[in-house]
Amino acid sequence: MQIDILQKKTPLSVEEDENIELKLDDLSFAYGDVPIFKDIQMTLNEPKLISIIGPNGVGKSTLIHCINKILSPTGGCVMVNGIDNRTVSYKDMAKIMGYVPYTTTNTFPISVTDAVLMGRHPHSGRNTTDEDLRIVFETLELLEIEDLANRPLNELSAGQLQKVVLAKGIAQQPRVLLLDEPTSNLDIKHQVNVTRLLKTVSEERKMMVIMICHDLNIAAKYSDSIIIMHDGGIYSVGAPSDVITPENIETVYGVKCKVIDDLGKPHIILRDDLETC
Amino acid sequence: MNTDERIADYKRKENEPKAYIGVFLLAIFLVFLLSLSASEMQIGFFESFSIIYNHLIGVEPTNYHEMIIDRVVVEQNIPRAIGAICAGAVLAIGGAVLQNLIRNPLADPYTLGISSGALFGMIVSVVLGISVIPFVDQMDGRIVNAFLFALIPTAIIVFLSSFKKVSPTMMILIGIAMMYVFNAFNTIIKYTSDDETISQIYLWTIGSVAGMSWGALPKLLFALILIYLAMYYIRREIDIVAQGDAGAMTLGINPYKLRIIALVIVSFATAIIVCYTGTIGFVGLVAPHIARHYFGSKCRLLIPGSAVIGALMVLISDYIIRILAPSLPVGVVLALVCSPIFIIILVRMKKNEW
Repeated sequence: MQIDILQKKTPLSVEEDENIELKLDDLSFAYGDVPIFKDIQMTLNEPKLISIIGPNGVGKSTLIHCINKILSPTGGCVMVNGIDNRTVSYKDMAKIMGYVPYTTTNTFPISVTDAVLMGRHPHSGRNTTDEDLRIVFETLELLEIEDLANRPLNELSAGQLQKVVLAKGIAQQPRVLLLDEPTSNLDIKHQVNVTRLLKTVSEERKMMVIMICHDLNIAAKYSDSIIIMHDGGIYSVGAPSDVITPENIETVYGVKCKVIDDLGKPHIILRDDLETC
Repeated sequence: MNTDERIADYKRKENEPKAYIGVFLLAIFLVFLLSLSASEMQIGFFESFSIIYNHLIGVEPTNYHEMIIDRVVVEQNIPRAIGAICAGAVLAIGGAVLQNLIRNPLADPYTLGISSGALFGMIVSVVLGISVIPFVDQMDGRIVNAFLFALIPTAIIVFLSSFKKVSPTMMILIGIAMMYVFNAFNTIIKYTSDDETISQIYLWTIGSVAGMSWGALPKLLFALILIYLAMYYIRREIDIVAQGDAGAMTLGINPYKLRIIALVIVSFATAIIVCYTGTIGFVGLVAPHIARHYFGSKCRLLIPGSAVIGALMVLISDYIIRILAPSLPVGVVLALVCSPIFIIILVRMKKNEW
């Protein structure tokens, strides 16, 4: 399972102008006897910003880990342009799919530049070119963290670190970027900036950006599409104005709320049980 | 600052610590020269050079004394110093690489059970006369034995990972458990051996570079070149795995596979060293940490940096032994002299350097 040296790999490459399609086919995952989700059917094929929302422990991160091959599903499969991702090598996957994890290990710290430069590994391999460095510094400028370039990772704040990990994912220039709560440690200004940046990136670079998000209002404001996960499966998929409804929020989160329209986007106002809507 | 300036700045900063490698290489060279004359024979510093020069141009020693000191310098001191350099460098590279791959500052060939496994394999071969692969000459038989037993911790990790995810922390715990198992076997063999064998095993357990001969050097140099080139070749992959397994996978690297490959190569190089010196502890653990202080944790400089510092540590320790207490094994002085230095460096280190 973990050491699949002997397994035959299917080559996978996606041309620049070719569309990318992720197809989750009866995807199931269980940690031992504990099922996380079952029989998920979904096709994603447009370069847009997609948010996955849902309560804690519903399997949002697990779903993302099945898509990018960190975990192997216990049932069904994830097809990337028609090829089961388990038969694709990590190397081929890394050329088309990037991942911004929620946590990073920091036993032996390196500099911000070196960390972001690692994002170039799938493309540059053994030789770091000036072009790679240029992409790295341009990404740092894009995220407004170029001043941190020479700082070691362990001296950064949680928010700064999160931006560095995000920069690594963007510098990788993948066709699909998966993000696990990319804005959880950021203040509101940077939450807005980063989410807007992700939307711009998805449009300008024709990149499919899939992020897990806990801030429903941010997700509703910027996402092209929202996936709500609930009770071991996908509860609802669609445009923010279609899926962010008081009924859906109450079913999924068990929280009463009022949804108002703000410049065409749904905005949630929470209500305590004691208050009336 | 524009992007071009940043690129230039990055390249300059990246190469800055290279000067330290030069300094350490110079120090190794000086201690090497000093150690040529270090023996009980009262050979002068410059006398040792003329002995080597005479030996090289083929001037025969004229009397018994000259013959003895010629033997001491050419047949003992030179291979002993080179052996110390190789042993220190190999163990330090092994330690640096394993620490990064396992993301644990305690990892080294010793704590992963590799050294103890190699020692056990060698003792089995020497004391019990059992060689896993027959029909090779005695020393090669020892190395093969040592290598195969050094691979046991790795084999256990591979076996477990076929049905279970073996985390880096588990790897080091398996290594420590195996170290105790091998040490227990070594004790059993000691218990049933005669006095002479016991003292020999004892010496190997602490580690010593005395008794190194020219014949051993090709294999030691082979171990050094192998581990250096192999690890330097996969340096970027090691750096990426050092930042986390999940991140490594999504950057196209299989961290499990990389760790196994590195473990096998480190086991092989360590097995060769152990066959000639016994288990020299401490250097594999500490040299990389001193190197991190000067070179950072990126393998591009950490691997050569650890190598020169490890080599220097063993060489200096062995030099001190030869002038003060020739019968002591080098492992003792290494721990005595280098531990305080290590603690001083730890204290002087910037906050949270690793």
